[in-house]
Amino acid sequence: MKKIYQNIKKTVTPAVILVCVVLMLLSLFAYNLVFYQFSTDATGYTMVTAVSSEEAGEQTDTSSKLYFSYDNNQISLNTMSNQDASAATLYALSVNGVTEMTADNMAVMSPDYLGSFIATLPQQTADLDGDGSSETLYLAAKTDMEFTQGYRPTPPIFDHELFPLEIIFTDRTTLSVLFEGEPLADQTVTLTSQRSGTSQVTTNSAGIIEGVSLLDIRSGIAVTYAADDGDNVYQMSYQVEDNTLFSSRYLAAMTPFMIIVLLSAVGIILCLWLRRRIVKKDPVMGRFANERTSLGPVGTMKGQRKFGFMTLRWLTMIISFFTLIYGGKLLGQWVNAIEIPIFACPINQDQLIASSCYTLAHLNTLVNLRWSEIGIFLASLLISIVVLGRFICGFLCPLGLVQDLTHETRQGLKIEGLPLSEKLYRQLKPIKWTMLLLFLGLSFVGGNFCDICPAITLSPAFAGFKVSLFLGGFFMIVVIIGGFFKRRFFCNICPLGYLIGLGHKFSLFRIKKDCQACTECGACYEACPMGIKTIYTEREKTDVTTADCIMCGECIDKCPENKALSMSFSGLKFYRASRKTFMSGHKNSEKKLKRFIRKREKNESDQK
Amino acid sequence: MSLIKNKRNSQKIGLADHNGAAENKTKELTAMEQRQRQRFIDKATKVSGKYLRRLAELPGAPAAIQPFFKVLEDIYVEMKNVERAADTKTVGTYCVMVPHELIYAVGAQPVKLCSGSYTAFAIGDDLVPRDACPLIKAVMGFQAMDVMPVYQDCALMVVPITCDCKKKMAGMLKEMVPTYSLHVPTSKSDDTDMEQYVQELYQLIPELEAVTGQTISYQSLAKSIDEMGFAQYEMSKFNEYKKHVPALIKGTHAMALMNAFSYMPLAQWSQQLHLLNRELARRKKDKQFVSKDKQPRIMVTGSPIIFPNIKIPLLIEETGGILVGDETCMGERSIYDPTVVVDQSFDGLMRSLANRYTRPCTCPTFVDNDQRIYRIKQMIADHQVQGVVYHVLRGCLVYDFEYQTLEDELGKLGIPVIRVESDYNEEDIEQLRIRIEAFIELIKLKDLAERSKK
Repeated sequence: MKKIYQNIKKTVTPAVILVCVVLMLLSLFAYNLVFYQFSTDATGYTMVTAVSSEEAGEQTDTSSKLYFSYDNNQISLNTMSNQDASAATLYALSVNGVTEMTADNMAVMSPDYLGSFIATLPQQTADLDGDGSSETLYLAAKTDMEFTQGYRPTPPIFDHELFPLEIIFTDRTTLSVLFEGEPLADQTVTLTSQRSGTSQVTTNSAGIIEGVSLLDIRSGIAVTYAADDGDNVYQMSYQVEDNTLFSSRYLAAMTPFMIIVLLSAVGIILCLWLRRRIVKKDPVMGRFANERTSLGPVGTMKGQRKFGFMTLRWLTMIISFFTLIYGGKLLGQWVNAIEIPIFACPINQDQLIASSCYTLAHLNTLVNLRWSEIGIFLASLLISIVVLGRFICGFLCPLGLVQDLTHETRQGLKIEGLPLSEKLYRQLKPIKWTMLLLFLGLSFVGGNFCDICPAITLSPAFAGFKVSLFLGGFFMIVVIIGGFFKRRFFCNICPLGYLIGLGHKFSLFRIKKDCQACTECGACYEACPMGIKTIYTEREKTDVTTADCIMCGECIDKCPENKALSMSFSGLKFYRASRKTFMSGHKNSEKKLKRFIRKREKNESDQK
Repeated sequence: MSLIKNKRNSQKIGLADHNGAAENKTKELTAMEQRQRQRFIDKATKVSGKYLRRLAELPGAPAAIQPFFKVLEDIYVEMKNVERAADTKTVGTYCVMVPHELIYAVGAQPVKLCSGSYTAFAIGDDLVPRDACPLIKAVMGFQAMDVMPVYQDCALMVVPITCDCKKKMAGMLKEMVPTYSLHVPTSKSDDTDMEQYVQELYQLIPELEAVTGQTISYQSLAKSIDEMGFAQYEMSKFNEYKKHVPALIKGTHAMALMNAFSYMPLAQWSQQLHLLNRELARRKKDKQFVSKDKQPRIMVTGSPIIFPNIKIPLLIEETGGILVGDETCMGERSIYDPTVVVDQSFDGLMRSLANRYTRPCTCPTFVDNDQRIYRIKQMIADHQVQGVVYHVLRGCLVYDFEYQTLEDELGKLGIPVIRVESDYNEEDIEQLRIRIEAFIELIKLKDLAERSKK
């Protein structure tokens, strides 16, 4: 008992307590610390009515009669004829409820507008199905601007008096249909998508159309519902503002991230300058100020392995980065329901596989979810912990990649880092727990972890989503500067990673050690970005996996003893340490030597 | 003590003016002293020559090992210095904790000066206390006689403060020659121990730079680490050949090779080792082995075995054993552990050096040294060792301390151990022969019993 108390006393120093308290206070006021705010109203946009090339008598494709489209900051309402254009009525959702738009409003949009617009046409009569009797056709178009598509408790809904049928797109995933204010349950509707054509779909009991790919929705859809035995046909086209890549809009979305990178660079330079001053004044080290602080000195280490497992890891990380961020846009989302615990921000809805970090950080919303959803969330979390474990951190996490990139930059410039000692690593533990507490608990006290989370600055920006940043933006600067000097700085306090790590006893990825082969050279400990010391001091257990291990494989890469360390997946050792591969970089020198010897021997035999 | 001739200059030879030391040294000797010196040289070269002959006569020496014998002959019989460019300064080092990389990086040539000379031991016996270890006595003997160019030409001696004898030796050397004592942490389990050694190495650099006038740079340090790495690469290949059963090379020859490492420029050593590896590869292909199937496979551990004090490995191999591994600091250990660079900065290189020279070091002078037992166990497994000879030099307490634990641990594995205490003279050679012969017979019988059981 006394020992435990002493241990706690050693770990929880006043400095650590101060850091924890500051973290907690900051996180409570995270929303007030604005780093970069995008406008969340329609200001800056204009709306025009456009008439597409009129093709006389072309009546078959009614979905193209009235629809919205985007061109940078200009929203166009497209109609087939001048007559339609003048007949169309435009409504906007504003803070004061639904308002009709005038020509003035269209040119300069009011900041009151919430980013959703609807256009209706007067009823028309036409024989749509060609059975002789004509039907009444009601046409409408709806659009949602990008910032309305985030996670919102209440989606933008218009007045059903305006137009009975309404398409509602929530959380960038769910497409549902309302009819006269009620969900259109268990009805067959015609879904027309610009991307994949027309199909008949049936809504479920909640009025949700299932199985529509995000790409289809993005391309523009229209839902046609024939009510009253087909006498009245209601049709609504729907267009979301797409976050097109590599446009001026995309650059705007990237702005906060660019600012972060810039500020981080400034911060790093300041730190370097400060260190130079300190080193110069040191009586012993002052002599080495030049060697220790010069940038990119000539000469490289050639002897150690260059390619191998680490190359694979880098490839995996880069592929994972792109598939997670752009995968949905390129391939469509594979599995909507499965969420893996990873700090690839799910506010970017283009991810190939969603992340459960949002749900974990908002556990209070679990009560609103259906049992099946909770089940899938928990099951996919558990499966991820067991099957992948912190392999996610080392191989898949985009935030990890960014930190590794900053680390590699430092390595390339040959700037010295900040080696943490055992003591400091020990003191990180309370901070880790505080982070975990904030991560899981902040939603219950009215906070939002997303406001602190540094991951929010990354994925959405790269995918072109405009996401306002609060404390998270400042935090990301700290993470990048920290990651520059200390490899995987954030991973050391990452709450999500630690949460996964807590289940390391059941994880299938493991680090194994042959305690006899180990010479305790400490190379693994020096290489470990997480500062796990037991990996080289352990002399009894063959399993050295800990909650902190991110499975990056650096220890095995740097281990010079044959089979002393290895990584295994469910008992199968697939990566072993070996002296031969560790020293494989010397093969070139050996070849050179062989050539030299051959030449010399030839000369000798010539002389004879 | 008329023998300690160069002590007279100790006041003048400071660290700053060691360049002028050579001139100061030449002082007229009396006729008796000159005769004494000549006798010393005659005797020393005779003993060294004898052991070299025994090395060469031991059957199975590969042709490619001759250059290493040649180096030993040059140093100990011909009384030459290390073959190097004329203006290259040499830096004497002791133990295995002095990073040779740093010395190469400032453009100097390191030489390992731990000595095994019987003749010098006899001289040193009068200079240091009776119970001091023979290694120290031999070093002090050479230093006092002032005849070995390897010792006399050193611009600086770097003595790591390891065991008590080395500590006092550093103090005595300081009186005669420019000496730097390098403080090695006494323990290595704490992070701070290693960090402390980083600081020590940083402090060593200016001393080394003063020797050559060259400053250390990132480039030169990276280059020397790479060169050492290449030597270790060749060494690890050599180790793989050594693991072969039946043996491809005799252990005594391998020890001579490791002894030659002390007096050879690194590039040259790795080049010759490469040639030796090539020959061993050929031997392996041609199934040309130096041991028979039933020959007991012995391993030596304990106090350093330094040429010409190679009586124990010679005895093992002359009485029918085959020496397959050595865990001594003049043997494999001095170069076995590679420098693992994990951070490419200058400080990263320094850290990796400090790490490589402390943490994996199995020198018993460290407070916590369990890893030596694991290392020995691993070597037993790798080399299929059947018996361990534990060599203790008289007065080498630290190794003697660890014998008990090793005996217990190896007892559990069923590996017989014999503790052999010896001194730097040939008086105990017959007694040693009887003991070692009996030990080897015992292993043979044990082996026979095991085979017949099957």
